[in-house]
Amino acid sequence: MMAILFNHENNFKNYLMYGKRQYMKQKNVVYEQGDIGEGFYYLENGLIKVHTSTPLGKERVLNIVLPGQLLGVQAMDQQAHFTTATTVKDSVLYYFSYDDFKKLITIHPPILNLITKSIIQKMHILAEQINLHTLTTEQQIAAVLLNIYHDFKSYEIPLTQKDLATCTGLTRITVYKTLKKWKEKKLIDSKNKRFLIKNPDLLKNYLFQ
Amino acid sequence: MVNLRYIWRPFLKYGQMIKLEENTTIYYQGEVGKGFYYLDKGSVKITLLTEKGAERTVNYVPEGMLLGENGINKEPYLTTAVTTAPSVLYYFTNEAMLKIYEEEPKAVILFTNSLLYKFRLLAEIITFLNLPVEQQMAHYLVKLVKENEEFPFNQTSFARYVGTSRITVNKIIQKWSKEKLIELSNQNIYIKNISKLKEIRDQNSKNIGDLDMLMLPLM
Repeated sequence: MMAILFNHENNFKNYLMYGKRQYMKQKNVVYEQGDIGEGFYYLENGLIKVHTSTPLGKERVLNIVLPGQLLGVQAMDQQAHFTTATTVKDSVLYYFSYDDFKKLITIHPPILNLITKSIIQKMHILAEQINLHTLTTEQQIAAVLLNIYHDFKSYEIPLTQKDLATCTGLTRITVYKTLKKWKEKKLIDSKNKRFLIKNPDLLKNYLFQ
Repeated sequence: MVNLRYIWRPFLKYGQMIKLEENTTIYYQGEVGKGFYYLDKGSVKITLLTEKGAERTVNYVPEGMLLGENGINKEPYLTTAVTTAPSVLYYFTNEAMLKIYEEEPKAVILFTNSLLYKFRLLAEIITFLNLPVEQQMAHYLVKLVKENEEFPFNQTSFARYVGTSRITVNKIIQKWSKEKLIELSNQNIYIKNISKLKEIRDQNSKNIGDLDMLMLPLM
């Protein structure tokens, strides 16, 4: 199966020299819910989960960020972050301040398209959460996989079961059982520590049943 | 917070004025994006259709705001927009937007801020999803009154805004009336005790964040 990994946000690579390179160990907070947004990040290496805690204190994982994606763009209006981003693996990020962004956008206007795409993608994730605010565990896993599929337009999901468990907050056993069931139903396949979504529509239908 | 209302006025010359009757659909959820709009006069309701077919009102667009920004670059619209009164809008195609970028670079930041505001409206709904209905109602009511001063109050559409049933809305409205927090007259609703309503809204507010930021005061 052909993986089309070169989507819009990968083009952001051309602009990394305007950002500040940062290395972060796993389990570190990149930005926290309530912090005032001062800029955004590009993930070069590693893995990050984006989560939010509701007023009743319940934790909700909204998204996971893979290398080549932007994060934190949604707080560029210099208001409080709605989510918290935490590194799941040791990660390399590039940070762009609001001023860097303003400079960049005058030099390279097309960059706005990358930014708006990233914001719109996050809006789709929120809309989906509103649709399914009482997600079952299976739906949570499927939602994470489908988000990656949509953003990268790739059937190949570069995540291990352990990554999935860490990102969703589910146990490894639950993740293992769910994926095994999906494999038997031929919804997904796995090889070399990666998943393949064999049929996104089937998976989606399964999610919304 | 920069007030987003009317910020797009200097760029209206790049758009195309359109007049629409009440109850006209401007764009549909899922339709391939054809550009965005500015609401000059009138009123537009933004709704989100869930997979189960239920309709949830995301917001009522106040005059002087953009709508459909997420339909830029042919991205499918995330929501549906319908006029709730005869309205005057300005329509901006992708080509118009490119022209604006070239001639008015500062418009880029304004557009991004407006899009981010829409992101925050969705985040707002998620914040309130699992909270008691009374708390949600207090929030949306305070917001509607602040953005529109006085507006015809319809329990059915308000129920859709809050994401609950009309019966529940009615019960709480009656209770608030009795407690003199609000007053209903001629189909309009007036807030009599805003601090008490805000108190109801802000219960357990540790993670709610700055709600006033989401309101767009009249100018």
